[in-house]
Amino acid sequence: MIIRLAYLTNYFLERDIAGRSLYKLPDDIFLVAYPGSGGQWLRRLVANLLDPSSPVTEANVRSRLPDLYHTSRRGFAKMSRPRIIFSHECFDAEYGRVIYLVRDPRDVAGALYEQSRQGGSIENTIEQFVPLFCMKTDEYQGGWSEEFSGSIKANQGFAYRSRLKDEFLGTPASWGENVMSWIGARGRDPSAMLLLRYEDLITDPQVELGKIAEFLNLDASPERIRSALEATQRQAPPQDSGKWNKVLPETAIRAIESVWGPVMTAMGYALKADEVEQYR
Amino acid sequence: MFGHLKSSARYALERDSSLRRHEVWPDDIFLVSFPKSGNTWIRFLLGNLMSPDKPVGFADIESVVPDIAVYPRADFREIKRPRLIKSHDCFDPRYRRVIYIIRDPRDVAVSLYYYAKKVKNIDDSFSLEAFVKRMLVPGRSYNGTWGEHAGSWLANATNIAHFCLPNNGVGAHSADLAHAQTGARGHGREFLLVRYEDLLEDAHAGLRRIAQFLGLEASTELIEQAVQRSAADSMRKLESAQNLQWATTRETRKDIPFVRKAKSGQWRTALSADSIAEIESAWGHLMRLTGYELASIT
Repeated sequence: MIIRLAYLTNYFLERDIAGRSLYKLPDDIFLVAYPGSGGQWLRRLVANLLDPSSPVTEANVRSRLPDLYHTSRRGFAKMSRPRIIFSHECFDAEYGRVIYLVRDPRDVAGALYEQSRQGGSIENTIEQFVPLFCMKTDEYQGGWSEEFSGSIKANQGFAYRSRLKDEFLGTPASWGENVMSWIGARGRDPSAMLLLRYEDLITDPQVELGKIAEFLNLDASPERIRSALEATQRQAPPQDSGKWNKVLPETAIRAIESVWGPVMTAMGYALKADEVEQYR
Repeated sequence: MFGHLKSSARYALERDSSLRRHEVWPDDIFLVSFPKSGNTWIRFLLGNLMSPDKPVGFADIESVVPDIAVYPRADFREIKRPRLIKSHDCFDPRYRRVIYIIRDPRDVAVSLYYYAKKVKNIDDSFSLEAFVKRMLVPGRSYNGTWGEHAGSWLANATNIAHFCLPNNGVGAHSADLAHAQTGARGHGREFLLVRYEDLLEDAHAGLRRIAQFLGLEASTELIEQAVQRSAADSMRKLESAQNLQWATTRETRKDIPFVRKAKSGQWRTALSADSIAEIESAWGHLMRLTGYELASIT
């Protein structure tokens, strides 16, 4: 009851968390990535590229390049334009221009499992985790499931919770739904969506950052790109790619590939099932 | 200030329209489409099928098959389950049971043009050619473009390559349509694709198929009655009698009807060759996938 009143007061003052009901502006640019896809790394990279004079820190990244899940509607309204906003959502037609980051779902599964174990929000084994990651469970109804919202809701105090909506805040849904909704809507429209792979960002960051700068209409010299890259790497080194082969058990790999194999192929990720087939 | 107070009060009392704030229940059935794709007709067909005692009209359609963009949030709780809900939203992962209605985008363009005049979005001097150009631009509206809307709902693991650019450096594959299914399946989502044109051709068969999907009891007589009561002529009569009682038409121009021709292929005479080419070059991949023959590109 008290929290409801506090929330409504916050709503009236537009201090509620924006989530999916963010009021979009025509020149907004969104960075979108499924959780565990290296989106936080991209976010820091872009923030450093935008303002090379002061590198982002753990403390200021949320204000430098805000996300939908911590900043209030009022906070977004006060930002200088054009705004660059971080999001985990599925396709949203109101996002005018989008940089979409995709990552091999087998590595995403590994990264999310590691995250949730460190956050202490699940006690599942990886064998139990992967079917949930593939969203094959009947009880899944969308919304932030406990497993995925751990990093958002865990250990949050009254101040945060009283700004969090009862109704739908948003959901990244499953990896496949997220990726397919964006590709389905904008896959053939590179002016509205720049599609990047996390793996390419790691192996060839100069080139990928160049694409980002162009998409953002930034006049970025090679030095500016290099210094943004160095600043980001100093703060947080990127995660390795291809770790799934060591981390995931065979059954988990098979489960992911059987649900999303063609999506992975379309994104240029070779299937282990195909490899096995070749040696038969 | 007063406006802000009023909208906050509406929100607090849940008298605001549902949209993304809608509390989805697992058995909710969504009647989803891009605007002007025959959604209202199917609402009538299903409304008449489910409540056979009295013909459905514009005055009561909101309480029979409520519109997620119109009906107040609180009132959704009072509706008998499973709720049948009309929505023009793009892909929403929370929707578990979906009937997706698709219509030839060239006809949608013509229909939407007259509707935009009816709701006073454009005035009479605005040309259809300029309107088509505007329709193709993403990021302008909540419902997206026709291509975004259909693509967000229809992409799945069997047809995803079809939605990738051939040379974007990421997805470099030719699409094999022979094995492509249509619709956001998987994750236990129940999905039925309905083509407006198929329904026009054989409303009885189309309605029977939808009824089967919904698990509705539908005798030949009930289907026949629903089709009769939802025929374009009777809907036109209902519209002229009740257009002030329906939120969607209340504030609009009365010289342009909401229920228009209810036919397909209007684009052949209405659209210019340039407009046809623009639509087909933007959304040709989706039109091929859903069986609409292209006129300008081979």
